[in-house]
Amino acid sequence: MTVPTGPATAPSDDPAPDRAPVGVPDRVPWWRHAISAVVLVGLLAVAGVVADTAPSGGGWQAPIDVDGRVGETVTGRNIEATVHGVRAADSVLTSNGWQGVTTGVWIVVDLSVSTVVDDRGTLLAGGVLRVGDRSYSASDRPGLSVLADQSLSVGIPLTGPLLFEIPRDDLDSSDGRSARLELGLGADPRVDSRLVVPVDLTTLSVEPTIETAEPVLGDPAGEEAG
Amino acid sequence: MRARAKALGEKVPTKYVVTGLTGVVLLATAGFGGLADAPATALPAVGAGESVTGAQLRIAVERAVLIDGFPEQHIVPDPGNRLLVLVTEVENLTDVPVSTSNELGAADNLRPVGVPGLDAASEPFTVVVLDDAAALAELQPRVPVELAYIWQVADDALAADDPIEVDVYDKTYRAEGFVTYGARYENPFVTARAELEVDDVGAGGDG
Repeated sequence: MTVPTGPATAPSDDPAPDRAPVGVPDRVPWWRHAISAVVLVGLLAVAGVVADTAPSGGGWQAPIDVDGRVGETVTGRNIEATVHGVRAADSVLTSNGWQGVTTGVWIVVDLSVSTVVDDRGTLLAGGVLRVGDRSYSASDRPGLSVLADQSLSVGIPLTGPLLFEIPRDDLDSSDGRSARLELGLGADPRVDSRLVVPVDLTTLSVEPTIETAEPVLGDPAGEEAG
Repeated sequence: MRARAKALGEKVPTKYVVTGLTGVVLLATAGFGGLADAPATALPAVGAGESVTGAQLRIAVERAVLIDGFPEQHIVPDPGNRLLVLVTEVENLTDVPVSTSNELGAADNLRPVGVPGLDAASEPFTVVVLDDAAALAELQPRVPVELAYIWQVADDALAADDPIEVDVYDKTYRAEGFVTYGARYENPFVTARAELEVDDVGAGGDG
């Protein structure tokens, strides 16, 4: 009779005689390192692309442009305007007797503008003529005889002129061909509607003098308001 | 080789190395003038009508006039004062309109010097477009405008044909920041001195 020996007492051969001694970590195969490196580079590349294409400060605060043309009614969130015409002159006589003198040339924009949803504290402070890299603000020298900084009403268009002083060279330049009239409520155009109407300054002939009419409520051209 | 350098580094106390290097750098500055004061550059002097081109504006002070007031334009000094008017031609060299107000605009760019009662901090009484006396106008890019810078001075502060000096200031450009909107020009510094003679026109005409 033999007593079978249990597995615990059997002398056992080391099943993996080439394993490292206790306390030393296993060697990582070289291809695992390569895969980690490739994944890392890939993640960095993706992060780079995301960081590059994410909207910058200017991007997420940009004005919301609404495009239109001369003669069309262009409607933004709280501003609606119809540009009736654009003229150029050496000197302008406005309805309150102001006579404009400039070393450049006057651009006279006739337009009707109103607000859409509310009229609390709404002034037409954001009239800008952009020619190339330069922006020209609507002149307030004539005072109340132009629409610059005038108070606007909901649904009732205020019709009158806006005057811009620009250097005479801009009338013949390539920038003048792609000039834009930008209209907004505030002088700070960010994060609100901005009406953009392209204006070709090169087609304008400079008149010696222009007389402008007094700003009136309502649209004498007879177009429907709002 | 590395072991020897390391052993040497461990022997020398750090403070000797730092002091030694500082001494060497100071000795090297002797070759560039040492610790003497830098020579101050003299301010360029301009005459009447000569323009000074800055980073933001080109300014030419044309004439200086003493006048009682401009009653038709409602620009009237306090009793006992007269108006010192600097007639200038200003051109905006930037791409956006520049105001003529204080602290943000062209009103900061001129200051009379040596006039009793006025100093470098005296803001103008008003700055108006010469043709129509429009205040707070905006200077459009590349459109030169004649501006009248007006200060109040005491009746006896200046007389006809007195020489007057005017400091012309320039400003430094500061780009749009993370919490600020728009680039701006700030920190006016004197860039030239205009020398003129004062005309006294009494009460008549405009400047």
